[in-house]
Amino acid sequence: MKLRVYVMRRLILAIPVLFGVSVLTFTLSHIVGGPIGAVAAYVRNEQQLHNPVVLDILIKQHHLDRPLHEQYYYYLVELLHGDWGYSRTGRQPVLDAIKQYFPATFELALFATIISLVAGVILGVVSAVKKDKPVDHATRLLSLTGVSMPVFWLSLILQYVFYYSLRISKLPYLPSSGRVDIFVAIDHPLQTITGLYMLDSLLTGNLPFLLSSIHHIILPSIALSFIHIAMIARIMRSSMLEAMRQDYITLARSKGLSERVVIYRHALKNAAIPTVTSTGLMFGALLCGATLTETVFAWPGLGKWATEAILTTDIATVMGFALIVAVIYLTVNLVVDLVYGFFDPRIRYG
Amino acid sequence: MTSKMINNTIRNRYGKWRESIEPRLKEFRYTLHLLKRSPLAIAGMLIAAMMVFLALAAPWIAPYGPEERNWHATKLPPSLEHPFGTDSMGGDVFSRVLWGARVDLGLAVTVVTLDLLFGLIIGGVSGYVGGKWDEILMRVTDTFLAFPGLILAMAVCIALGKNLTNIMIGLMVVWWPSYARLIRGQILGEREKLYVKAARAAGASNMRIIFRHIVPNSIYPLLVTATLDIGSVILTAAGLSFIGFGAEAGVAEWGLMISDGRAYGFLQGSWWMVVFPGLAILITSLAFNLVGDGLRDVLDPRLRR
Repeated sequence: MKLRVYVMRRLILAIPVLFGVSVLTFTLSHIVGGPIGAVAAYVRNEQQLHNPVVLDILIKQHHLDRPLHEQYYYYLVELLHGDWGYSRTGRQPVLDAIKQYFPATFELALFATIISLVAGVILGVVSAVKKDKPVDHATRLLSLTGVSMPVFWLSLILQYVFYYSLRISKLPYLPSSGRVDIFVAIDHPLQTITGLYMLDSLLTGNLPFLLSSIHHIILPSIALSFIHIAMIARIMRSSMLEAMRQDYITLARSKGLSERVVIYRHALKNAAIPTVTSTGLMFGALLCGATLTETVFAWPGLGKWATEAILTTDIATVMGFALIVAVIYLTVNLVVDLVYGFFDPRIRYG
Repeated sequence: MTSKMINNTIRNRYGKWRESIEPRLKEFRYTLHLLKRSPLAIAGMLIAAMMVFLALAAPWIAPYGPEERNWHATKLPPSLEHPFGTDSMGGDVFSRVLWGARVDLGLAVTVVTLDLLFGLIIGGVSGYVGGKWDEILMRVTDTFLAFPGLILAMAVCIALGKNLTNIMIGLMVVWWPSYARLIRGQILGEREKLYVKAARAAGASNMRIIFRHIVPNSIYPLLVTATLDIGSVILTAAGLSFIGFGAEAGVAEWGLMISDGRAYGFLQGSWWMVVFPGLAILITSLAFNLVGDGLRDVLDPRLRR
């Protein structure tokens, strides 16, 4: 019961933030929309942008000839009815475009999160257990390097090494762009169910497609996870050190338990909570699209879509993207807080 | 009044000032002493100092100008004459990396400093005045935090026109909420402490309490964040330039150099146009992160005294 009240309160608190974001996007559409203003969000192509007849119809249709506060009201009503404008970059309505690009981003985010979680936890635990030993210093330097790494540069270097160098030395190489090999996609077309290539190809038993998409996700997910490995390792290290200082660890040791059991059964379990939280938030951030990585690897996800849209002042896409990111951000925050309570029963929602 | 008297007054004033900041200096010296024991932080400081030096001295040490081209020497691999090779337009990559330090470091320092000031004002009002103002300002910061940062910076940049100054403004718009939050938190933590109550009882004004008492006492967390943020701002600015926002074509800016290198022959073997500017970003950002990280450890109250 308490939990339900808590969730309700959080959802209600999310309303003003979403409201604020919609005001921001509405304002943006008037500032960035170019000479013709907010109507640019409903235009289907470049020709229509310069066609006064079409523009007039659109202006009437979306009440853009009204005073600003009324315009905002109609904007909200249309948002709630699922009309988010037309994405010229995606050549389809904004909501459909989100449905198309989100699975690609989701797949990449999931892979990157799994890689960074596994590597980050291992590095963090090792450097906490071997505190102030060379391993610890090396891990620290590595994680600081991760935080300081320009991800687009790392992506390019990975492409150079694993695509270009391997290919010119006639070795098996990794693909440098896209989600799947185009020839594989032609020979073994995928039946779309969820839009997640790997899940769909697994469900329909399309093995070549599955292999090709795994092949394609390796480099971008490694590039993307590098910085997150660093972050998780640091959080894991400090919470491990904190846990190892506690009395129950001394007790476990004095009971005569082996160091392995003490570390993995007692300390690790208790130190996991902060890592769970930050992994959740990280996953949420990744779900919003990795602008730079997706651009370098030509990965057809939300980040690349939004970047292209901004470069071509496709305002409908930018507005839709900003809204969807706000929704993801708020949802993930809520879910993480709930999961946190699940892992740590001491937490009370009140 | 003779000049001797003036001198004496100045000396007295100076003496009093010295006395009043003595505890702070002592604190600072102790911090430096602790910092000396961390080799990584020392390394970071040296590298950061070197980068700042290179940025300032670029006009005297760079063999070529930032936008100097030689159409007869394009895409040359590294050699004695061009230690980092030349780019697709015959610019000397080594010189351009040096000039780039000026652009990127200058940008990062400006953004962080101005945002720190802005955060002080917003966070100060929010934390110290509290109540309705706090509620309003924090909802505004929430909105900015919920808005995707890169997109916001790009949008600002598009609205104002794509150039370096505007990308700086865009980054400031993105970065201030985190400072406002941090400073508000600091002030909320300090506000109820005894020394603030004592100052208030002594009749100090709000401004005086914030700027003379609370801010100096919470300066170190701010310093840590600012140092770490210089690294992140460099990364973000370079990233924005890389995808086509920020520096105008031809400017010696690290992100833009990488983007040009990628467009003109990186995956055909001309690695130097991309590798060296990227290394410059990595090393500079790493240096500031090392310092910030070292500072944070040193300032951790659990390890102190």
